[in-house]
Amino acid sequence: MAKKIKNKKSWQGQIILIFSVLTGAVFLPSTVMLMIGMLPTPFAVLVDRTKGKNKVITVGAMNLAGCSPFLFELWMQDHSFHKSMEIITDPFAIVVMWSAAAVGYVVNWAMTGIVSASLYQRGQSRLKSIQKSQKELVERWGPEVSGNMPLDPDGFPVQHDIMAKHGPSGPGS
Amino acid sequence: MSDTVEDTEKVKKENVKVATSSEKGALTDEKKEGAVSDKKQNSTSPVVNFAGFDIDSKNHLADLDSGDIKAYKAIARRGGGNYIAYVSEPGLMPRHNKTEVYQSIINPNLAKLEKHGAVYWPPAKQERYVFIYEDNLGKKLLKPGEEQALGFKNDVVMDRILKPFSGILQDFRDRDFIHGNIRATNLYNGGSSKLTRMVLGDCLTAPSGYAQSAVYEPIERAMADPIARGPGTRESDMYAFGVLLAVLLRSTDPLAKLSESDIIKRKIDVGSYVAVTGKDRFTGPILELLRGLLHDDVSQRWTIDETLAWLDGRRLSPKQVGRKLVAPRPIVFSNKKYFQINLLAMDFEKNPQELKRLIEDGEMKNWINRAIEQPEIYARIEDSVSLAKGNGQTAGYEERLVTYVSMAVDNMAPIRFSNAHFIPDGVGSALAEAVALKKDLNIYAELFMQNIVISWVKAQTNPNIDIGAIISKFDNCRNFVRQKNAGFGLERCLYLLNPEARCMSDKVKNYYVLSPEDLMYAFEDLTGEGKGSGLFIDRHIAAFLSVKDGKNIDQSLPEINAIEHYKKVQANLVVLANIQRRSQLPYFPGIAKALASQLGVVYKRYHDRTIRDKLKKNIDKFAQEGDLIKMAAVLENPEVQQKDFLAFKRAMKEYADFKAESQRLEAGLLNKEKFGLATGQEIAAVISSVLAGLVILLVAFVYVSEGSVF
Repeated sequence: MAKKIKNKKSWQGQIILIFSVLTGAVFLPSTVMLMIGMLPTPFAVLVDRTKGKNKVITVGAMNLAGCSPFLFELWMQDHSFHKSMEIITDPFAIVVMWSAAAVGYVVNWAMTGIVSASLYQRGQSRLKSIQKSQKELVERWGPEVSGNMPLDPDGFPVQHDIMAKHGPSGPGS
Repeated sequence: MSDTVEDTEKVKKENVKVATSSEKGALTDEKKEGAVSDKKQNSTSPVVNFAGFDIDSKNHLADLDSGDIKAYKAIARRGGGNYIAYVSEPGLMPRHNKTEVYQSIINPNLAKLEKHGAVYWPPAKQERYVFIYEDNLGKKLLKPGEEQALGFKNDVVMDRILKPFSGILQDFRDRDFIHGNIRATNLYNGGSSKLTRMVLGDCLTAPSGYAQSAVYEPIERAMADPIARGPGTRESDMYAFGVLLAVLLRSTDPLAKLSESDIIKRKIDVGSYVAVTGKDRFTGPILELLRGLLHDDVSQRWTIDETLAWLDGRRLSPKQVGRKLVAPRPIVFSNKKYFQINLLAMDFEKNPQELKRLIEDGEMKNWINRAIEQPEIYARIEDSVSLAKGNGQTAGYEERLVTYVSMAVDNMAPIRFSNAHFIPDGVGSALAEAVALKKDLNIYAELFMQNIVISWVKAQTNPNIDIGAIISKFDNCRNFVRQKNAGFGLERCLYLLNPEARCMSDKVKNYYVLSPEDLMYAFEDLTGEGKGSGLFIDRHIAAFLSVKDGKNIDQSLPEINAIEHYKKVQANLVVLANIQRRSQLPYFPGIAKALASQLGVVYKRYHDRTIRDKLKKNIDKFAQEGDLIKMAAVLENPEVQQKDFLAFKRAMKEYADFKAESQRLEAGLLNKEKFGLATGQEIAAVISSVLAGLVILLVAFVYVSEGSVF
């Protein structure tokens, strides 16, 4: 079954790959420009080892935003290989495109730091809150509420009953 | 005349009521201290105030003692007047249940009972049961130890004794009352040496027949231990009356200097009439009367009707005593020759090994079959031997042999067991004495366990014995002895067999407790003295309450016997609250506070500490008032317990959830650098995507609108 799903996925991937290659061939000037302008993104793919590859998305999105003015320029003026080469040989364009990717890195670094610190604080306060609630439960229901000791069918510590057997003698005795 | 036991209870209740608050009946501290100090005053003063009488505990009237019961001088507080106070002894249960009937008999020749009840007795430093009689008795006709012969003339006895006392005996018959204490040493001259008014003295202060010597008791009752003679019968009263007449008439005492055992043997040997009258020769009608009253066959003994008929002039001839079983040749037992089997049976217990030898050698068989010529007696003996053997000649076989062979030989005799002699109806008194005097009780346990009384009953031929009642009682006793729990055992047998027994618990040993109500007042007094720690109900009290009013305690017996202390404490509260409610008693703050101080273990049976606190608060409030009923009601709420249990289960689950979450959090927080990293990256991706989208849209807008950003 898993094999079938894998085959199905690889089949879809192959279609997308063929489509991408064809599209890339059709729009070769754009493809060439993007291949150079989007270089930081594949680099991010190599660096990002997280499961969801969120860093790649962050960097890639900003990198694409940085490439977008030059892509529009290529499309609007002369969608030729010559124009494409002109753009990618312009250092300013390269700086803009790659700087945008750097902004993506900065966004990722900043947001991760802020959110992580905030969540850590929240986690700690939640832990305190849990401890407080547990303490309150123990205060109200006794240490047996923790389930850390053997209980009789009525929910009382077994030792409690043994101790309770020994009562004092009666009046007049 | 309100002279019953209730008088005492009323007095006690009044004492408590005096010290109760006007609204709720609770003992206030000030008044309680007052009550205690009164008691202390009583305990140091020799004069005891009881129901309007001052009893001087230092003024012992030795001449008026009733057997072992001592007489003291008493004076009425109102109007003066001399009275006699008989103070009961711990081992002798007074016949307080018979006082009402006794007081209903109005007769100038009978000692007049004024009051009776329990009172604190300073010399003993404990409560005793006291009977106050009017002191118009005069002197005893005979003092104990004097020769039992007065040599009165026939007409004196007829006029001064026979006629008035026949009236008394008639009253006894009409009211189904047994005196059990008719004897010359209990007969008073009424204050006149001319014997114008003879008075019969007390009979209530000790078990019936306890103070009687063997002379005054029919043979079968005389053979029993004095404490174990049972309540007696009208026939035994008539017999004692006959002996009394003989003592008054005879000039010498033929039984003087004889031991009790020898008196009985003499009576068996020659018959009661001859034994009692001795060499005195009575003639005429009085001879018939004495023969009739002293007849050894109960069925032939004169009743009061026959005596009255005789007094009216009808002359009746008593039947001759049946032929005695006298052997022509003796049997030797313990180096002594015996011609009569009844006399032999009396001595079996002196040498059980010899009895065993006689049976095993066949000597007994030969003697009974050939000399006595009563093979059916030996057939009964053989049955007895197999009964005694049971599963073989185990421990106690010889003792059992004595018991069963005695029954087979002389079925009218009392039960002879372990050197004790009981009439079944007297076992209760004997057991009460044994418990009170802390004697060995194993004999009673064995008596019940081995079904000896049932065997005795089966051997009886007397139709007047209520076989069904005896079997039922002793069957119950056998079952009780088998059960070791509180509320059963020998204690239960004691109170079942002896309804007149006071509660003999050590907890209330200094109080005279005859009812559940008395018990409550005793406990209240005890707790006032600071002895109220611990549980109230012990084995004796459980058995006592179960017999006196089972509805108070029977449902709580499983809890009283439970292993868990909290169950016992709560059961104590429930039982005492039941008594308070059923008897409509006032509040008992002493008991309530003592119980409240022990209820901690009961509160702990609730998981929720807030419920515990609420319960404690309510209980403490009711304890201050002394309201045991409300205290019990607060704790008897299964719905609350059920809710508490379910809430506890939920709390446990909640705690477990918290624990799991906490563990997860703690594990995450340990790696501070990675904590929240994925979330931060997700958010960065979203922000970056949105930002990039906006930039692309802006650029697209600029190009579409033919402008250029750069």
